[in-house]
Amino acid sequence: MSGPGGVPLHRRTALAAVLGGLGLAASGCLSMPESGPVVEADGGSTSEADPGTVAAIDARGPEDGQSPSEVVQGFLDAMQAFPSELATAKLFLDPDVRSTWNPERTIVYAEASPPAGGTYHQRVVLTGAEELDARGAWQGRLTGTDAVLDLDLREVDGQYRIVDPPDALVVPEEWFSQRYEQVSLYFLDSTGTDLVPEPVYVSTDEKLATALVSGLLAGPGKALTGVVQSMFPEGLRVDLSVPVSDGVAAVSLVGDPLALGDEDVQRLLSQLSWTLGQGSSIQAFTLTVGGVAVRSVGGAEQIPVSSPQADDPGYERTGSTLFGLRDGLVVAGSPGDLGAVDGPWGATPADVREIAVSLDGLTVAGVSSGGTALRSAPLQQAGVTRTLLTGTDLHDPHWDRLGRLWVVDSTTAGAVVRWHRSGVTGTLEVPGVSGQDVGGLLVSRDGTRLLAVVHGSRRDRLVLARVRSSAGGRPRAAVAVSDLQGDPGDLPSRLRDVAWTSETSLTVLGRPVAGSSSLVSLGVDGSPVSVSGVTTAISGSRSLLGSSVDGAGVYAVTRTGLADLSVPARSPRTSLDGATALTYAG
Amino acid sequence: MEAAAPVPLRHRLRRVLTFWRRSISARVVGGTVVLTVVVVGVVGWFLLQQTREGLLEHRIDAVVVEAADEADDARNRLDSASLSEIDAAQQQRELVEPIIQRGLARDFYVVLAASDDASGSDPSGGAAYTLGLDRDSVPSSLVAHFAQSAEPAWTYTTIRTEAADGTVTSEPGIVVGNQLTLPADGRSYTLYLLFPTSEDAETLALVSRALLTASILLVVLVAGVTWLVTRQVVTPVRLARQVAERLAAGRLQERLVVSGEDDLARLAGSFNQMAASLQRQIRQLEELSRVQRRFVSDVSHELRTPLTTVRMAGDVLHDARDSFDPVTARSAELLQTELDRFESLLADLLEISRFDAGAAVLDLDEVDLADVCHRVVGSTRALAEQRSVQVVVRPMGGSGLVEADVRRVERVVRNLVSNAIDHAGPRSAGGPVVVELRVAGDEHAGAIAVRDYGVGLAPGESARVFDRFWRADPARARTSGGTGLGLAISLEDAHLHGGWLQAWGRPGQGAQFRLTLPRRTGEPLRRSPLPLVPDDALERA
Ligand SMILES: Nc1ncnc2c1ncn2[C@@H]1O[C@H](COP(=O)(O)OP(=O)(O)OP(=O)(O)O)[C@@H](O)[C@H]1O
Ligand SMILES: [Mg+2]
Repeated sequence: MSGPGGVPLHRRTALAAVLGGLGLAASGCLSMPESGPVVEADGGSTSEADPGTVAAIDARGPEDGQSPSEVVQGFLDAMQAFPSELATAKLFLDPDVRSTWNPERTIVYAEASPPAGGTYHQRVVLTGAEELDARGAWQGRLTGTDAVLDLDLREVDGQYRIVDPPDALVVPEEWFSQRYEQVSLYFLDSTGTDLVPEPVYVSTDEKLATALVSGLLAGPGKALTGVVQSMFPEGLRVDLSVPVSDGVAAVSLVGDPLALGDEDVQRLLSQLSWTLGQGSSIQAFTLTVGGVAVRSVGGAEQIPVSSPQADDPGYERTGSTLFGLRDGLVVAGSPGDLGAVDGPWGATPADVREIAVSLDGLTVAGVSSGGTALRSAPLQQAGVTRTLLTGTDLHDPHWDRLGRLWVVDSTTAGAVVRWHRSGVTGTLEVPGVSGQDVGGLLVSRDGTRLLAVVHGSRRDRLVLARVRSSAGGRPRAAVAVSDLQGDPGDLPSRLRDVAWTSETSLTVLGRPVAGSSSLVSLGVDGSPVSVSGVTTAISGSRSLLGSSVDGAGVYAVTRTGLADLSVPARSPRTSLDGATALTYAG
Repeated sequence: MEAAAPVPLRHRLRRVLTFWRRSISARVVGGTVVLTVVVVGVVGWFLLQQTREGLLEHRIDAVVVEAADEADDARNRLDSASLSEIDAAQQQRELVEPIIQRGLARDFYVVLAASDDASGSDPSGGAAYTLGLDRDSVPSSLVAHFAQSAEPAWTYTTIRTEAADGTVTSEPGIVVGNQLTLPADGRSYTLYLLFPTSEDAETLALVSRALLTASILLVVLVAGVTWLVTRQVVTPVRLARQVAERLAAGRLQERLVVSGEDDLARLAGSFNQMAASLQRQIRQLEELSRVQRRFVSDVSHELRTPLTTVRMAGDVLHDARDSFDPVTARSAELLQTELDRFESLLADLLEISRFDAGAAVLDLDEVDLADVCHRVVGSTRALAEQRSVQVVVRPMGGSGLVEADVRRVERVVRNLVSNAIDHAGPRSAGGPVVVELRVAGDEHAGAIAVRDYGVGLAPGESARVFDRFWRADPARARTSGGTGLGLAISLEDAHLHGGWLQAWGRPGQGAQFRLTLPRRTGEPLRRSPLPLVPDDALERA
């Protein structure tokens, strides 16, 4: 009946219709949704800030109807917000200056007077104010008008607002000491072989790494040209911040990619490595400059940080070994266990009164008993004694890591700072030291810092000079000479000795007053350092024995023996065994 | 064209419907396919839905975590940022730059906009965002959310991007927002990360394609299997139908082919047994009927000779009746009458048995049916006058010329007319008693209808009147013979011509008998030139 063509046709159309329907139904679930309700994601920030060791301070903003002095006080309080933020403090400012107010310096004060003054002018007098520059380097004490905040106010919408905020974060000392820490920015010395610490104060919060890297990028400053150098080319800038996550600091710098040789890149990386190594939470870092990742020599992108000590080649050999003279022979060992050295001066008396051992532990130098000659001999190996230089009254010989031997010659015309290096000798003119009555000299291991105790007529001074050297290591000039002062009144008026307690701190021994000598700790930048556990007064001490090497004990040398300054003053002293002229390497 | 199109379509549709009605396999396969498609569709839809939900859930979890990680990282970087940085725009740029870089690598888009700023609509917002991204891709509902709440939130969106050559593409995506505070200006910013979900859509499309292919294959498979199965069942049934049709058509020797031993084979066996049994019984019946007819024919022949003798004797008595006493004379007359009847009965019986024996032959001639009518009216005039019945002939148009055996046609018409006179009555109360003869013809056939207005026929009688020896009222005065064989013979005569003889009647409205003859014997009859149901009957109904 039905034609042969009709049936399949019908079937086909029916099948197509059914499949079409199926397809239509399926198409609803074939596509991804393109709109929908807003859904709140639970959780949010998963990483909670570590509970800090100090109190977090939530700044309070201005309230309506505050008097001018309340506004100023509120402004000072708001700057103490922690973790640091300035948004609240800015609310106390005239809207016109809000966006431009950018406090780079930091003023730390011991006490501030309550704001006082008229409606449009308020004055706050700071006592014990000290200033840090943008890098956080200690700039010294503020006195006179510098320690006074004069603030003008203006009425904005019926509220008083500050028109001329200080170009500094003004915070109290107690707040500062709890939240800031003295660390060092490591630059390279003039030869590019050694890393030189430059102490700065940085906040210990999350901004530590950012502050350290920014400080490195800012460089050592003009005054230190030729003394230290940075491998970071100019024009680099931190991109937003240096976040630390899982112990890795991601250093991302904006600027042209580095165009440095392998060695220089290595130097740059060690600058970063040493500097960042001071952050307790940082184990490694990555560096990108202008979007290009910088790799270590080994090719690793993630570079572990290192501590200055671990990289110091002299540290292992001579770090905490004590050297001295006993019966005219050079002895070495630990306190109370000294033995003669293997070199020529350990066998026959060398007729020296003061010795200095080179930082590599190979050579010993000594000032002849009369003080007229500086001689040297191998410390442990066989060899001959050579006379390096002669003078009138040589004293305080010191080696630095470049192999330079420094000595002071107290001539009739005053002191002369002299140096010897590989048979070459020279004199360095140090303003404020040369020609003065110099009681003692210290040289930092890196050789960039000279520290002299200068006896004055009324009081003694502690003079710090930085040594500018040629690229070959030859001393050229003393620059950036300054008197280290510490807190006023802390430093005794008569100084007997000074010793390193770390690369960036010193201990100063005063002349005994009423039988007891006072001990004062100082930062190498002159900032006051309160070192806990160090005895502040000791009786009968004649000199100090200390080293910037970590782990080397700091002692006061007394008639009865060595007094360890890190233990209570009444503890038993270590016998000297008749040894004199005790010194650490350097 | 337009007028012509529906015709084949309707035609085809009708054919399709016929096929649908007649084919079991079509219906079974169709039903199974529809059912399978529905089930497969529902299952497929469910599977796709589940897959889609799963994909989306997974993706949302992943992107929310990724966005939270990015936000944490950004917060960490902001926390570490130097306080002396006061250029908010630069800080914003520096913050978002590495995120955008990561976004390019990991395929997401970034918008960093101030939270209280309506994204896109307000260009002063200074938002930092992935190059080429249309900022309207962040829906305003999400922007509104961050104007009130700092909680991270996400929603679906359409991500529109413009390539460097100006081509705009849009794709579905998820946008996740996290709020940050920029230390440079202390304001809240929202970091929107837009993750395209086109990859998931592709996965879903892949799954869908696989499912669809599997579904189509399954449906085709099911249709094929069903078709095979129904074919296994339907083919024997169809064969059985054909054989049954042939059996019904009289080909009793047809049998089904039995193969195997399954149910269908046994059905075929039973069918064959049934057919064999039917064939046997029909043979027996045929034999029986043949024997009976033979018996009737023999009896009729055997009666003829004695009847002739009786007839001659009767004639002698009849002729001499005047000399008898009245009672005997009456008996002689009765004898004569009954002999007439007996003779005619015998003649009828012989005629019938000739038909049964298939010995009836047509003596064909050109016959004018109108002439036949007039002759019959003439021959029955005596009877009609005796009953005071008026017999009229009405030509209804057309030529009544047919090829027929005039003797047989006359016999048929005479029987019809005498029946009509027998049962006639007045058309209307008190009116004349009329019997009408209508004659008509066309190019295919000629017809005579005999109409009376007498007792008529009760329902069902119009078929039974042609049965042998059937009379509506056997006790009725047998005025014109009345053996009940007349119409049976007439029907055989009509059939012999390849014509029709049909009856119509209503109780009280009379009856009409119609004889239709083909113009040429052997030509099939399609219609009659005269209606079977008379027009006046319709009027009165
Ligand atoms: N015109 C008619 N009106 C009513 N009944 C009729 C008519 N024609 C026939 N019949 C019924 O049909 C029956 C059979 O008719 P049929 O001609 O075969 O037999 P019959 O006339 O009785 O005898 P016969 O063999 O002598 O013709 C009649 O007995 C009658 O009952
Ligand atoms: Mg009759």
